[in-house]
Amino acid sequence: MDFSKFTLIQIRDGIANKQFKSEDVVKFFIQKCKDNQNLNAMIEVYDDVLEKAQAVDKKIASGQKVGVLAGVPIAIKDNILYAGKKMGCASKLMQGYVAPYSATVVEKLLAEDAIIFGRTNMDEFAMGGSCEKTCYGACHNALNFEYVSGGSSGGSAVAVAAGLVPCALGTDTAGSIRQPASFNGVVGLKPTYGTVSRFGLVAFASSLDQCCPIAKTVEDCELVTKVISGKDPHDSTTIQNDLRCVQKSRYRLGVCKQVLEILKDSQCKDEFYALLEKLNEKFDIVQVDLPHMVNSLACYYILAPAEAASNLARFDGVKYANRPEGCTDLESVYVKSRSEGFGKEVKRRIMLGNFVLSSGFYDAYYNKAKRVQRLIKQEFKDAFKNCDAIVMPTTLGTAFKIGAKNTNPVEMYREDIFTVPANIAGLPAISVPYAEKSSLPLGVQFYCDECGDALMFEIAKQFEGGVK
Amino acid sequence: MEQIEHLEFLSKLKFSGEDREKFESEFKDIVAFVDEIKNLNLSGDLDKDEPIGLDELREDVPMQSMEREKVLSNAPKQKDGCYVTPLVVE
Repeated sequence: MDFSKFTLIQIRDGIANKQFKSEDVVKFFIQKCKDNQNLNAMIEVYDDVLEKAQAVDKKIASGQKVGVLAGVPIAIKDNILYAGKKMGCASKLMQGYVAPYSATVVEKLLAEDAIIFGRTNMDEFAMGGSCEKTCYGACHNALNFEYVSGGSSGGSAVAVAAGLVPCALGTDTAGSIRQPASFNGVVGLKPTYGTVSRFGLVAFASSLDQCCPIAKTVEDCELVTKVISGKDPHDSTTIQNDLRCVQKSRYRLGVCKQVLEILKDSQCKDEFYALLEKLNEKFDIVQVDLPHMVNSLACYYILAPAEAASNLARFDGVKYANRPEGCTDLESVYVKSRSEGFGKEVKRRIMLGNFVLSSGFYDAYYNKAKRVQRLIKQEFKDAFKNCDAIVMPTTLGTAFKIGAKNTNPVEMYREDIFTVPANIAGLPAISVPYAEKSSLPLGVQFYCDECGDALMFEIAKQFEGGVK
Repeated sequence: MEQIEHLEFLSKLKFSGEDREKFESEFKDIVAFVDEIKNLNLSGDLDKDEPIGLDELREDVPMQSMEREKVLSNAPKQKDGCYVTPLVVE
């Protein structure tokens, strides 16, 4: 059986109904990963997956109660801890690190009898939008080898799109799940901030980071999000988001005029306008105004580096992983370990973070960005008084060629223009494929109000079922 | 650039040779990019600081923390249950 064509729910149901075994499924995906190593999406398939699958099969055969993900293989991004397994953040500095405990998201998947299948490639410390800035080498797009996978959760998106695994977790700080999902023609989301615990994820920008699945369908993503969400005593920022919504017969979608303005010169303008025409049949369309949404990107490149500069201070050559030879005093342990261990993009962001926080600049940059963030949040809140969801493209265009944007960091940063507002405002947003251009996929996003995650899934399912 | 040296000190990083020149020029572009926020005109109530709410803290109950052995398991150098670094105090 070719399980690469199955959705997560089809695999789950097939195992539960004893049409096939988890062992068959896992064996299939192990082989599929071996056959597609050139994509560089999977860094490692864990060595105990067959054993774990057989254990679930035994449970099912003996009639024991099993979890809602029983026997389904799920991969995790290389910045998520799984006790006893390697985790490297795609960084030279972290190679050799073995997780001493499991992330809450991993514990929750295991509690539902999922098989944690392996780890996926990413941009180092989740900083990047192409999955080229990784110590494992660039990850390739699932549909065209010459093109980037997107990032930072590029490995997770490619693993799902290429059928190496039915679902993979990623993390999203500025669009790191939604952009690669869009580039590879699969579904990915970020939930309302706080919906999913960050305990056991390597922190990048703590006030913006969220972990969530990438899968083939909205329904698959919804199921896994429900499993991994919930209040966690280990993460004080988690909230109880009940993920239920009141259904309506017809939903109202907002189109932001500032988005249309940005789209004027973009590659996917025609496709997006054609989509709006089609959406009109099933949804009511209204225009919304988000005057400061365009400032989200610059706001992000102040707030995220500021938090990263703090969060990455822990990588000092004392507590984790690698310390180069020849360190003569404590200062040289810090400086040598970090200078030799971190890649260029990570260094750039640490320096930028320390710049915007440093004496004389803090008010003009960091403090001001926090105020702009509040303004953006308020504008979204007002916009949602008049619509159920806001629709916008996930990216300005399709995936680009490997190496095409490596010379200019600011150009790469602009990739996040439509994804980053969701992180800045703490809102849920999902990317669903809607069209193709030159045989590469394009994704559309649905943004909802805070804790409107269930409504977001509902609207995305309606879209997936009837408009595409 | 003096400022880059200061940031290197704060960041515990050191750039050298070609890398340094390239970094300096890219850094200028990035700062110019985020200057958009510095130059933005804001008015009204939002032009104030807002502290982070900390009203949902858990009860202060002691809990089991990670065992010492596990904490040290990823250290590049360790001895007798401690991290090893070059001499700090003479």
